[in-house]
Amino acid sequence: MKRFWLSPAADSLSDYWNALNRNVPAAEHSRLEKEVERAHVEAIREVRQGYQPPLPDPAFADRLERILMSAAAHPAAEAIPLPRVPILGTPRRNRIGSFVPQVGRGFAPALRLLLVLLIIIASLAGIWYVAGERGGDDSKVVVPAVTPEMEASPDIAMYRGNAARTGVVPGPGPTGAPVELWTVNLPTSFFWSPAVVDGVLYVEGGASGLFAIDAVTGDTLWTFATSSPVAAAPAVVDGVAYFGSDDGTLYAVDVVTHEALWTFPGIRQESSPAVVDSIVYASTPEGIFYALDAGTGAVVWEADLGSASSGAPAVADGLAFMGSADRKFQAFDAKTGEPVWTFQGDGEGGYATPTIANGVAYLAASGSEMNRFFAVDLSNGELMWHTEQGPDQGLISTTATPERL
Amino acid sequence: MSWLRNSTPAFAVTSTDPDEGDASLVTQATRGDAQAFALLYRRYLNQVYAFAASRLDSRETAEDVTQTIFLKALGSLHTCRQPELFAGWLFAIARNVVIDAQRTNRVVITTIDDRSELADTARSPESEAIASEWSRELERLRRDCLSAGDRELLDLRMQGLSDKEIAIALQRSHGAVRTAQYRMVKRLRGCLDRIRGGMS
Repeated sequence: MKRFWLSPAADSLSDYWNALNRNVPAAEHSRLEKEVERAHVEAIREVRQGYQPPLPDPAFADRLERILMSAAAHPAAEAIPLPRVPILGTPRRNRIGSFVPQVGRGFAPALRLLLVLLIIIASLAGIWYVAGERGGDDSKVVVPAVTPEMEASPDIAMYRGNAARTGVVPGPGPTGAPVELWTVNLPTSFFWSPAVVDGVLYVEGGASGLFAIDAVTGDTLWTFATSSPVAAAPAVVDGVAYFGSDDGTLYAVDVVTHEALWTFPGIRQESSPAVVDSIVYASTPEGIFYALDAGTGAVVWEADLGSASSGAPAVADGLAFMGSADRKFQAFDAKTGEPVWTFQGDGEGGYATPTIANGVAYLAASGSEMNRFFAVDLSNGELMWHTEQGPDQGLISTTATPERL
Repeated sequence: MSWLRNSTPAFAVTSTDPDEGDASLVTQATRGDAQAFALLYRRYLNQVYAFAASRLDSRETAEDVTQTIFLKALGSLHTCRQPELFAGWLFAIARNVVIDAQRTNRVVITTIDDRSELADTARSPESEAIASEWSRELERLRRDCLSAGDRELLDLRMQGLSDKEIAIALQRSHGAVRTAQYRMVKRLRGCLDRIRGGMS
């Protein structure tokens, strides 16, 4: 099933710009230009006009060509000279929770050792901080640190920033006193955070459905009407917005054509979907945890949680997680749905949306007599530590950063 | 060295059917034809260098990054699964190398004034003045009106890549690139109107 239909305007613009970079016949060029809005043609023309890119030094160009020919002739690459400025590799992450840079050959061993020592010291300081803050009788403490899911990306594609629900979102935020850029009056109050993708905010619009708002101007770009109110955070991935409505319908809407690609019934709206590797994860009020094909809505797998689901699903490290009202927190193989482990918390009431970071699942559970916070080892589902707070101190989902929760 | 000065500007491609030309050269280069790779190098050196230079703070760093990009391309050419979209594959490498250089060398994208040493000194004073003025305006556009994603998209377009090639370079879907491009041009139009209005 073709999942992505383009608007004619986006199609024409792209074809025209493609043609500008090719020596196409004049007649073809004219035909393509006529299909594009005049203002856009002029914008592209103005940007291209007078564009003078920096050119490489001829001596460098010659030298590099000789280097490449030598390398091509001698695959053992004995004669390749090192760049003058060392290009370091991407950082590696270790289980301690610090970044260990891959240091290239250009760095002195002493500097390398100093970097490693500084990182170890910073990690120990982090462990000391967390040890000082934890409560309860459990002894094992793990320093939360940045996982691949927590790295900032330009977009905020789903609830709490990512499928691991860490709450880490790209910055920077405003410095000093924020300056209001624009205000939009929506027809309903909204509670859930918007998704922000490609400069567009996707916001729950209550009875009006889903709103798409230009992040720069505040203009409402389009809305998608639903049969019942939308009151949950959408997920927007690969040009499709996934969100639930009050009557249990899960929608998949193409953000360019604004048409529904598919719907799925019976989903609990607060189960703000997680979308990872072309699979949409969501649950029903009765406790059925679904993995749906992102392109078609077909069921990839389903699992019975045994009790009403609670919180939104989370996906990280190849596992899909879902809490339920009987204080179970279950992990499934994200691709196959095979159960991996189950954590049984004490007390009553379900969990808020979990936070998954550095091999730990952090669970907040509110109860009438006591609120609890659990840290569960992702490798085996065992409790690592927990805290308790009085009923007047409500707990909801947490945010995990390298320094603290 | 005439091939360098006579090579096409950043946003034009030499052949009327560049996909076929690239595919043929990549196939030959993969089989060990060094001259085929040399032709690919000459075809894309200017664009790769310009892309790197727009993000780095010195000619020296831009040259080193460019060298790393082509060495990586040479070493991994056999992994180019779509030779007809070689430019996209090459700029995916370029993008990653530039990002690495920015992270590890703490490079900040500079304004055109800071990048004066990267300017082409072979231009006449008059054309240099015009180019400088427009470059400043373009830089203002990029900085004030476009998100980081938009800037990257625009820069890849200015290096002559097609939308399919950009999709490979950015590791996004073809449709997502077209959508993002459309919105980027709309924002460009709005910004140009504001800048022109401010200058009049």
